[in-house]
Amino acid sequence: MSSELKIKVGLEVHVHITSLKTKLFCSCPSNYVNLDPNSDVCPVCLGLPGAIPVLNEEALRKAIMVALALGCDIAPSLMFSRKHYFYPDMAKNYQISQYDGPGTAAIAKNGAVWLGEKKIRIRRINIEEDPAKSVYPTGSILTSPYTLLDYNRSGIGMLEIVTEPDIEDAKEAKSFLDKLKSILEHLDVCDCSIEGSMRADVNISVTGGERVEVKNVGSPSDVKDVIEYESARQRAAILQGLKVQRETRHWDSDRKVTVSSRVKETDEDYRYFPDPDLPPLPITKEYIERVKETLPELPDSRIERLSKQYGISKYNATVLVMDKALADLFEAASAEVKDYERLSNLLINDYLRWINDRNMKLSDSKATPKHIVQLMQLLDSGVITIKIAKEILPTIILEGKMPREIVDELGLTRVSDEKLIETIIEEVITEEPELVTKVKKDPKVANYIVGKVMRKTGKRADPKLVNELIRRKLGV
Amino acid sequence: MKVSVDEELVRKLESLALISLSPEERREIVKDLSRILDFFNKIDEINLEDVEPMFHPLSQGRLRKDQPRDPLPRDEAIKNAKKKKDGYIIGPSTTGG
Repeated sequence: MSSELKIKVGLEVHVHITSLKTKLFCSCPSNYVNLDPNSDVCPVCLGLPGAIPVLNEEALRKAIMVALALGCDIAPSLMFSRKHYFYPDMAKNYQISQYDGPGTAAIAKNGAVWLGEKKIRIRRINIEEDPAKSVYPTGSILTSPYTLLDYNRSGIGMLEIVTEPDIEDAKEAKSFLDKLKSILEHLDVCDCSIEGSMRADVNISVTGGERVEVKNVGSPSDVKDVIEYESARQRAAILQGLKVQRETRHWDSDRKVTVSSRVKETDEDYRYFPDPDLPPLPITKEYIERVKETLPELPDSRIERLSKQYGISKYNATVLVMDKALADLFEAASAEVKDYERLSNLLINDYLRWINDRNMKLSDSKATPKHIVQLMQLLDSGVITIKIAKEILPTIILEGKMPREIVDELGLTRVSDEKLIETIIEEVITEEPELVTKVKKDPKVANYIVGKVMRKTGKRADPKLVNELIRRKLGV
Repeated sequence: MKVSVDEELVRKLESLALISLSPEERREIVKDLSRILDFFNKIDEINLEDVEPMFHPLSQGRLRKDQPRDPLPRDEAIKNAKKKKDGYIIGPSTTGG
């Protein structure tokens, strides 16, 4: 019954332009992470009276690159607006942003991100500055008697990318964000592995209800959780005959719930007007053409190329490219590896999965192309089994030790000596003689014997060979 | 766009501007705002159909190279803050509680 109530989701994605060396409107270094509070600030990003903002030219170039990659219309003139609100994280009481209104426009409009055949329309892209970071002394916004402010983040360049409400479920939202993240990484706009570099406001409504906005969700997987939570909450309300009101909610990522916040602000309340400190700047066709020429290979064409050039499946190519670092690792290792499909399988099914299962990031891994090449060579030459490869992967990822070294130290080389394996099979049968008759009735029992032999050899025996020898010996 | 100014609108503006007015001040402001808006309504009578809006007397903004410069020394940066703690500036609670 509840499944008849469709959900509609639109996202406002905020991404830091992490490739910039300085902030958006001043020359303070943009690398603010792990610095002492308020040690990376100047009159402009502190919002002191009289300080004049001047736009970072590289920020404009990156914004145009994103606009081109998402197939947007680009505004003929760059204009900034002041978005007013009183909050301790914004000392000058307005954020420099862009606004689509009379005489002023966002830098780009009307683009799209394609998820296979499904089109997610992009409404607009804004360039804007990040506010300061608020630290709550009790750890919670609700119980803190005051706010601690660190302006190091204030003025960091961001893009706000707004979709139309074309997303229909949590999974699709996750796919959209993965694709967007890959595009931004290929454009060298945002290294999304940096904590907090990609945040989103989630607008979600269920048939028959009003739109609810969940503010400031910290990661793509949290976005998925928000949509699942909110669609269940809103559906339940509607099925009970209650109204879903238009409101703003906050995501509590510890308790995994959304909480209503009392503030209700409309566009008018922000009192947008063109920022007199930043005169309009024409964006010429020639300039756009020049930026276009510098566009790198984007995810869709890279997927095509990988599957053609290396003959790997489209699925594997897609998984690789959705994490630019993984695709880079694949291509770097492929120079010295022959079996590309096996390489891609190892990277996806073993390497990536191990990292994902532990909620780690690819950037946390110490494995380099050299490690992966050597691991593949050990596998290909039969020195180790796939089971051993899986077993030593964590040591490679966490410690950056070379595979050969680990194998030698732990004596994990593959046992392929037929005589030795036969002796071990004998041992197993001596321990459990009934296996001989059992296996003749049910050939599947052979797998059980293989397991026993593997255990006795510390997983070093080649399972295929063991299987073959058992069947030969017992005449199955 | 006609806006009618009444006490309710002024109350909303007070909350947006984080100030509170006395009843007398509020009555004064209603009068002032109405007069100001009347001036704008007069300006609105001009036909500007073929005129490009101008937002700035300077014709063109400028850009800056993406080259870092030293930020302010921290002591200087937070010198004017009334309340501070461990290098942070202390601001009000944001939940109105």
